[in-house]
Amino acid sequence: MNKKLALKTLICRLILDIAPEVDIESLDPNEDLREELDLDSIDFMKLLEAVSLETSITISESDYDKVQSLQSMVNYIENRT
Amino acid sequence: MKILTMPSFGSDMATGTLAQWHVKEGQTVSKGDIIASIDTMKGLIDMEVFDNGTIDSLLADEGEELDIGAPIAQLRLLSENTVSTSNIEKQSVVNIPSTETETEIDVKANTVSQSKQEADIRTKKEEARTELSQQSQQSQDAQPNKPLLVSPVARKRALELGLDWRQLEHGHGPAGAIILQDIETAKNIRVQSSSQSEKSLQPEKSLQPEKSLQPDTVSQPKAITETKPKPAEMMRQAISANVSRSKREIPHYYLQLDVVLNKALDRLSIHNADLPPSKRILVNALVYCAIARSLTTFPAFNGFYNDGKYHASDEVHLGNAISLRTGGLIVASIHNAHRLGAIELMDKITDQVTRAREGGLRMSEVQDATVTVSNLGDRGSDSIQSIIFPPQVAIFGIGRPRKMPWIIDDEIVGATIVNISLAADHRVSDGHSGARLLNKINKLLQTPEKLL
Repeated sequence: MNKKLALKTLICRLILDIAPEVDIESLDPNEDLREELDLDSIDFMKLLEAVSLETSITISESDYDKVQSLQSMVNYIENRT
Repeated sequence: MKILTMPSFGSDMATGTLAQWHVKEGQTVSKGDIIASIDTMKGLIDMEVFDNGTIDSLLADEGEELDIGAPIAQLRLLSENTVSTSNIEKQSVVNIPSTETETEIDVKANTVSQSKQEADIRTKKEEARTELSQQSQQSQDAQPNKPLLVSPVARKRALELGLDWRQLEHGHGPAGAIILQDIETAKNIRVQSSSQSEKSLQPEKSLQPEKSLQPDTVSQPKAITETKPKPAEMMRQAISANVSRSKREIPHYYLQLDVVLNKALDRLSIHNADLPPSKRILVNALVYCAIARSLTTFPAFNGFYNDGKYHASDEVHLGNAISLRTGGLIVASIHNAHRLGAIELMDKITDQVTRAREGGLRMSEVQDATVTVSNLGDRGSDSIQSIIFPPQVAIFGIGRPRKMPWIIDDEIVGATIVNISLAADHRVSDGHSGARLLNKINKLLQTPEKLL
């Protein structure tokens, strides 16, 4: 559980690095991340790059639909570490 | 000697603030060097120098907000290091009467303790500014009774007060130059005016009635503005002025074509499979590449329409409309995009989007796009029909890729489709050639391996 929380905190921090103005507090973790925070494809690519650097987990292009929400991204990373 | 002026980053910009100097007086500079960062409503933009030479003097202070065209530095060109500058000196002398008067007053009143050296620098600044103010006024306004001169001190005071000195018919300085006293008088008139009922107020003789919102005056500072609008508001006003002008002046015609992306996406998934996220190519890069290359054989869509004439550009500087998080958008130009492959284009797009949002776009990148692409992204709408950025003559719109049943080789298959639209200037091109251009882009996207 703590690992999930730590991952969630990490991803939120990485999102804020890319898009400092987003209201991360009000993000529903089960909603579509990009839709909710208005992240474009380049923002998303940067997020995946940052996630890869921080966690050593590289999310492949074919798995993009498995990491659409904050929660699903956390689960994805957790299952691979 | 070349006078470097506050650059314009689009017809929608009236002022810029000199945020930081990156050079010092006496420093040697080469073409392409960044000499200053300019804070605009579009964010921080790096100003480059386009000649080799030496910075002779800096005419603006950090933090100073200046009109477009106001001098900010003098550059001694490499080629003139051995050439006499007598012509330059003569030009400056022309402006000395009004400049000296104002400078003397200013020095006496405020800078008694200033050293002579500082005063000299100041005089130099004011000379250059008055000269440029004169030049820009002449070019901006051909009305015979308009003042040709404004002293720098007066202009600065006007800016502080939110007064537009251009609204004054004449000043009380030499040759009718507007001087500090005129601005103070205008201020008092404004104070009196605001204390009266607006309906009963007749315009003062020395002040022209505020102009109605005309396209050519929108980019000028507002006549009598009590508070300065915020950058986001300024950008909205500027976009408003630009698109209104475009819709009023440019007879747009619109075309669109649905393009099958299956081959492009298949090629990209092979290319991207083993790459880290930062090296992956988005399908947009392929589309941009196809557009840029197609334009080389369709010159009527790539260039500028000015003063009733169209000039095609030999190079394709592809403007990418980037949405800013703070609101509004900025068009960053990918230089010579027709010579780049999709991999290089992807790097450029990522880099420019980042710098557009975090600051650090270069002046040349926001000034010289010959055509624009507007792309609402893969979460946007199915299609977009855009408004041309004058003086360009064409803009492409890319919708979001969407999965559709499609007929390919007489069979219904699943396909990913993207709608590519073209809005073009009917004064320069016709729908027939526009349709051929879209079909050419489609054709290139069916052989994506050639675009990488």
